[in-house]
Amino acid sequence: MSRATPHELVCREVVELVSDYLEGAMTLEERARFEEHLAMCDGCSAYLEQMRLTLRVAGELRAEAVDPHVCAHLVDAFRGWAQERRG
Amino acid sequence: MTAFTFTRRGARCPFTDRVWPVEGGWLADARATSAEHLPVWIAKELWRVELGGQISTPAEQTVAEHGRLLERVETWDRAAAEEFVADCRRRTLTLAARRPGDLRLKPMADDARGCTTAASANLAGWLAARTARVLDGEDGRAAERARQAAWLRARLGV
Repeated sequence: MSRATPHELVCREVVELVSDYLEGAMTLEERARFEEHLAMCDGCSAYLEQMRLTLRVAGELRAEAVDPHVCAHLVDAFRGWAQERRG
Repeated sequence: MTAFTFTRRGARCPFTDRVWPVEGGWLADARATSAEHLPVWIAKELWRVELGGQISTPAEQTVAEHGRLLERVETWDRAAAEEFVADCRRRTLTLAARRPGDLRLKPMADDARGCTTAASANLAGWLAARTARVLDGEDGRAAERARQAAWLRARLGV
């Protein structure tokens, strides 16, 4: 649901701002506008829930719990992604 | 002061995933709404709440240092939500019919036709308000939200 008035957020903006929201880095006004969008948009509400769940699960992960081969693969993948972004 | 708050099932906050204490305990950083902004925050359950500490009203929300549930508004149930959806769907289609050739209105009318269940109550209200804004600007949007709030207050007896 991305047709919004100038005062309303659109879905793309919600996705961009979700980290600020979860970190409590918004003003009350910004937070209210953000939540106003969530109230009527099931898609963005689901996205927020997924982000919250991801953070919860990732926060429980210990370095020693990751298989060394998986760890090496992830590091390689991240380096490749970072190089691609740098062009 | 007293106000209202909409929650998910089980008094769970729609945005923060926190649960309001149902035994009268206080919840910090409480989000609520005045009666005039009820339609903006529609969700599964409606509660009357008491707010305390510092209170502010950013946008159309009421935020308090702490708040607690007083009672559930039992008149906000599936039947009431479905009636609200039907009312807002009719409203959107009636408004959109004022300018049949306006391509900005067609998506709203199409979405409104798809609002048929209680779960789409918030969206149905938003679509009617958005349609009114396209036609009559911010005054139109505000008037439509005020109409919806009056409808809810009358239907729910709050």
